[in-house]
Amino acid sequence: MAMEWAGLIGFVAVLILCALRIPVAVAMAVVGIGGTLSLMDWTSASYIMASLPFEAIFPYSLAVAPLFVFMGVLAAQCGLSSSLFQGMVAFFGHRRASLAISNIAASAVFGAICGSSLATCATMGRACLPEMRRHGYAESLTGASIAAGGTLGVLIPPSILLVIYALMTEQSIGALFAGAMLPGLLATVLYMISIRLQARRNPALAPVADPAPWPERLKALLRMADAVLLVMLVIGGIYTGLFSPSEAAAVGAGGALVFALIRRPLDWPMLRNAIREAAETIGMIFFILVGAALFNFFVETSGLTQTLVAWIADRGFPPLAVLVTLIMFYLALGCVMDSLSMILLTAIPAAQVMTGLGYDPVWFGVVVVSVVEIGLITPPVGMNLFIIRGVSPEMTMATLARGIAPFLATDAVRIILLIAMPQLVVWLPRLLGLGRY
Amino acid sequence: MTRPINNQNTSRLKRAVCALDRFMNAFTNCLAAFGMMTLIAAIMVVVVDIVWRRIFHHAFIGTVDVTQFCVMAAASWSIPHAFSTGAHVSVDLLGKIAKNGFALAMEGAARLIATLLMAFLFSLSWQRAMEQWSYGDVSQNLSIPMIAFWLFLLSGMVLSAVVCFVKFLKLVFTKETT
Repeated sequence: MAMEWAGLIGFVAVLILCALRIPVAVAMAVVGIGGTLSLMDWTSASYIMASLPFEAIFPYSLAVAPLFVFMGVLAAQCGLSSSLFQGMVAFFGHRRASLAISNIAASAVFGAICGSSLATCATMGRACLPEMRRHGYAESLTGASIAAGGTLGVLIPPSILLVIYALMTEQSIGALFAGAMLPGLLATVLYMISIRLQARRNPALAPVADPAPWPERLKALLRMADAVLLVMLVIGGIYTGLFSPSEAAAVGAGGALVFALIRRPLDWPMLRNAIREAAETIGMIFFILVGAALFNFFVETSGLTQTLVAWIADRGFPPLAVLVTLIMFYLALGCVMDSLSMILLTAIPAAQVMTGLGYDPVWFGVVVVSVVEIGLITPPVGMNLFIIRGVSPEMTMATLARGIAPFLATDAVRIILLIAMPQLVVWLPRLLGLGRY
Repeated sequence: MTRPINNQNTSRLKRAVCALDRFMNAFTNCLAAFGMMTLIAAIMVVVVDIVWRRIFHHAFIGTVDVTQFCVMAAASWSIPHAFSTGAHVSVDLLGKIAKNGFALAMEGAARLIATLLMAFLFSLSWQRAMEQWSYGDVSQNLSIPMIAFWLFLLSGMVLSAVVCFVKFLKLVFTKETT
């Protein structure tokens, strides 16, 4: 039992170090090294640990992560977000709350290119916020709808978080992408319904915009064609079996580069910003992977997960109660930790426990990613809310908290639907015969 | 008499540390840019391979090796850049309630721990890299020596350790957290 306790203490130690502002990757690596040395002799521990950083970066399947990051950064730099928003406004017309609804739809499409919630939120924020404000939208609805729309970036495939979960739990990336497709669309539709209901209840939140002439609308629709084409190329390529996920990521990144060149001359500031931003994100992701490899090796050596599964089985806890407890844990953790770190810290043990209880690992992955994303819009620490405040410093946290409440309720409904109807996740991977289906 | 000389020395040291910090920022920036260029090279190789496969019904040999090589360079050389720009994710839980001195001490500790960690990982990885070199391990298709892949990682690690140490020194001398 002593070894399992070491694993549990390790988890607590990581959380304490994180709270003391030690970077998450450094905290995981330090606890992983210290913990492994406490469980094994120096020779064996150092021999295994010497390979872990290399093995964390080397696999070919990991190429998908930097390529998708690069694609997203280029898409953000070349103004796709703005065209998408204008195109969606043209598509949804100029009815009440159409700008907020268009923002959600544009975030969903941009999220499919970008794969990151924070980047989707920041980019869409810059494109939509001034326009919504100009049309007299309430600050609470403006900020909250952009922050909530940002969370679609990680749910609608391709998503970097889903790739990381797939690699860590040895699931098919294609199956996870297919599994997240319907929940992503469901989230988009539910957010739109929520906005419509809010606007119906309080018309002052979202005034009716002036209708634009039809030629202008058609032009706006055409301008977003390259973004839609890019999404169809990547997603369609994976689902039709034309490309592997890594190849699709390379094609997507190449496509984004071409569109960036076509849309505007590739000037030095744009290229420098894209390179800097991509390098920061890639460096951050890969170093977290190194930290997670060291920490997860320690947790596996401690046997904590197996003991936890056996303990839950012995006590006869209902699997649903365990799932709900885990979701509550993720929601609480999401208030203080970013989603990537949460997934890397907990994905392996959590997936092992849940599959041990008979849950589908692909379904669980989609549920976990959906849940950790809620943390991004939970006041007062949700990262997307801070991003909105970064774009618009005069927007107060109280305003954002007021506006975000209906979206949080929508998220709760979505999670309940995903738990009640697992087919929402597993239907598409089964239909396409992806992974082990 | 000793105080002015000490102040002068401290000021000179401070300037030297700041200059070193600027140099490391610029250097890691350039290295990360090289890494991103290798990523663009990987994109081109994969896209050409897909088109080739569709037209001539056979794939290039070694696309996987080239992609792994490029991604290894991009990832390993981006890690020091992320340290340099402070992009590594940390949780600011106590930062808001902690006193300024405590927050500075924590920041210093974080940088020192990161320095020691990267140095430790470098020493461990170095041994394994030398072992693989002595065995003459090569990649699967193009027989690229594995030591070439290791060199990216090792250079990334040693640079990260240096960056973290310089950032630690900068904090000690200037109390600046950026």
